[in-house]
Amino acid sequence: MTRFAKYLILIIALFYWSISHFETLYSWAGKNRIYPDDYRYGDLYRLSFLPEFKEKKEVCEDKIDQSTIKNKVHLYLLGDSFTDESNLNVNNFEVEQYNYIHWDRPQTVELDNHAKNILILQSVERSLKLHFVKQSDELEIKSKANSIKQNTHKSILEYAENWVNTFSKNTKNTEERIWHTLLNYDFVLFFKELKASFDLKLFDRKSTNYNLSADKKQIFYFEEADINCPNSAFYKVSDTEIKAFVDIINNDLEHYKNMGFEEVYLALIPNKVSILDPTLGKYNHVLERVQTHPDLKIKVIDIYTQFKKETRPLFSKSDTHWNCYGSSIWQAEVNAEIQRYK
Amino acid sequence: MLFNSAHFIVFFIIVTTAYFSLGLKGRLYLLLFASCYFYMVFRPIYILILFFTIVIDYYAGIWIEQSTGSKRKLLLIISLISNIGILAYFKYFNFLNQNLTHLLGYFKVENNIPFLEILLPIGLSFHTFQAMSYTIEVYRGKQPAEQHFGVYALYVMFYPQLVAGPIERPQNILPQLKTFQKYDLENVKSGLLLMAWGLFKKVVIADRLALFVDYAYNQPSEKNGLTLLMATFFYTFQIYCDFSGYSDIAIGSARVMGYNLMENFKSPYFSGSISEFWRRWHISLSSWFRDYLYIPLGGNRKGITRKYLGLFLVFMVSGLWHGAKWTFVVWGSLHGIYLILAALRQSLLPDFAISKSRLFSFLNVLATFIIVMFSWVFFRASGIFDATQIFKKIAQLNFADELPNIMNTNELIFSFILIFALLLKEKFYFSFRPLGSIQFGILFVFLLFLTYFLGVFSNQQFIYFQF
Repeated sequence: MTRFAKYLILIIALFYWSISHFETLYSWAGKNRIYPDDYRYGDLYRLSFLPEFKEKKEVCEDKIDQSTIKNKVHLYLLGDSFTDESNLNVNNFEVEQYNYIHWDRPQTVELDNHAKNILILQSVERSLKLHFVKQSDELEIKSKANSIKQNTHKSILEYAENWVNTFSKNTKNTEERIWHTLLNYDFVLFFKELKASFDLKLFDRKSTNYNLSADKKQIFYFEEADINCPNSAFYKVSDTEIKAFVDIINNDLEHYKNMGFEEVYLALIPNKVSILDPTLGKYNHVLERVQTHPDLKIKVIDIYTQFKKETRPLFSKSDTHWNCYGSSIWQAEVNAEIQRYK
Repeated sequence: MLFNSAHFIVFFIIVTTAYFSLGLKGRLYLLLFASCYFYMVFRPIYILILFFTIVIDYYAGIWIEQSTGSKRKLLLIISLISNIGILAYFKYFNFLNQNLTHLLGYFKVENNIPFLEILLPIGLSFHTFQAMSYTIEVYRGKQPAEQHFGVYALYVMFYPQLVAGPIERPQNILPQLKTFQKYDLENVKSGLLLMAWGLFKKVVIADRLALFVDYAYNQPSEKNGLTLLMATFFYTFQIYCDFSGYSDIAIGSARVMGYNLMENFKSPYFSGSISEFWRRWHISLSSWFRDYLYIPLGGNRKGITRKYLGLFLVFMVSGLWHGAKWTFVVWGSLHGIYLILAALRQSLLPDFAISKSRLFSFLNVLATFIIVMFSWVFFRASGIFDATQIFKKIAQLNFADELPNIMNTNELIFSFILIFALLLKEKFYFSFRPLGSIQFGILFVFLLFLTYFLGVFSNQQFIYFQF
């Protein structure tokens, strides 16, 4: 019995170590639901563990029946987590073909000359400084130059260097992954909530990864709400900086049009804090200042004005992203633009 | 790998359960492999430095044993130079170069020697000293040279004490590594309890106090006297809980597998004198300096002047061992001076009857504590200028000083309660006594729960890792 228990503990511990250490095993285990999704109650709950901000992630309905689409519009969306594969897909847009490209994962695409190729540059307000600080090169058009066969011969030293780099990369993330794989079950979350509430109520101490609204009823990601964070909605941005963003966006427009896109749009999603608690600090109005800048040449899909007027909740309580309703407003705006190309 | 991480908990479970499933040879290779992994989590490439020193000292040990006369001495010197050379290159090169720049600058000469852009290999000073103690003991004929490369490598790399000690002696650890350690429930229980207590000290006490200390010692010229005094008081306990917590986890994790590592702390803040403090604080290092530097320099045998000079030198070097900064040199030198003054007082003033009273003992403990506490200012401050600013501010302490809001009142009170509880535990319940399995289970789970519930999880490194 003791021996059996010993081997059982060893096997379980080895299993959890393996799926936490090796990136490929971690992804495989995640896809196969071997450990619970740590975003299931929202990304801000994941950072705070405050029970008052625990809400199961909403599943949005697909609205568009693809069999009814008759246009030849191919939509390319260069976007962030607001529009990634887990939130949006082809069934959200009235287009024949839909391609999503993440800002952090550059891709090479092949444009269909017989279709109307539309590109949307989408960014959340807080990431504007990251995405428009230099000319975008996330998209490349497929050409023969890209398919030249690379010399794959590697020396022993290169193999060793690769191994060291992979080992470092894996070990760097092992700690965080163990918390996700082993310490993320609902019964563990109970203890995490207890601790988070205790720390906040007794010591007024919380993780620096999130901020609370003045009435403590809303939770925000620190990057958008912390006044000391350069990406925050409350960090001073000069007119010269705004002009620089506009120039970069104009360059992007020209660059992608030269690549063959019929039209390029800019879609800036407001920060949660900009809509729900802009008085938490001195709001810098970056989004409005870029969108209404007289030198801006790109077409804008504006939802900031609509969001400001809206009375229904637009953002998830426990997440930094929009809810299904907020997302549907944006989709409607995009689909309205697409109608013009029918 | 940090002891205060989930990664370590999983690693420990795997290594320990696998360890008890293997024979002696299997255990040796398991521990070697585990120690390599443990070390490589920090920075994989530095395992090569460790491997290099292991190879050098392994062969040096064998050749020293086989040689006689001047050849024997030469081999020892080669081994010591290679160890100290690596330490000097990684730890002291930039420090020396910086001082050279200042010195040449004084004569308006430019220093063209470039600075190294390298990270200090973690725990370098610890495993270098442990390796040196082996070759010195072999040279002195007190330890036979280890013939098995794996056993010697494990002596240097044994994961519980690889990066922050205790700095072991070959006579203690080598025979244990060659013996099959039987599973002993008492060892497992006491080892696990010691680990849990060490983790509590680190995560609950040290890391909580660090929140205040880090704030106060960052730009101290902008802080008031009360804040800096409180921070210095907190740091005194932070560094103790941080380092003794590490030692407890190291000793505990080795004990679970049946290995006895040397004790590193014995309630140092209850010392009645500075010399007693050094018999209770970082024992493995102070005894190393005593055996391998103070006694070879003459110790107590070559007259008063030589003794005092030796004391001063040893403590100055001990300060430098902690880090390549003048603040550490000052901190070490101060302790050397305290010891000389204490020795002078003892030789010049007679013992009064009052000196044996309880009140006098208490005052001695208090005075020692205050001296040690203020000396930590040099240890923690980022430079000599900051340290002098801190002393100036503390001297200007007044009733108008207010505490910063880095901690609210509840947290400040809680921090004092933690310190008080620590002192009570150290005074009246120094070690965990043998417990029944149910009592152990309850206490262990309770300690872990408290550690999680009251702990600060900011993945703070152990202070002594940088040395």
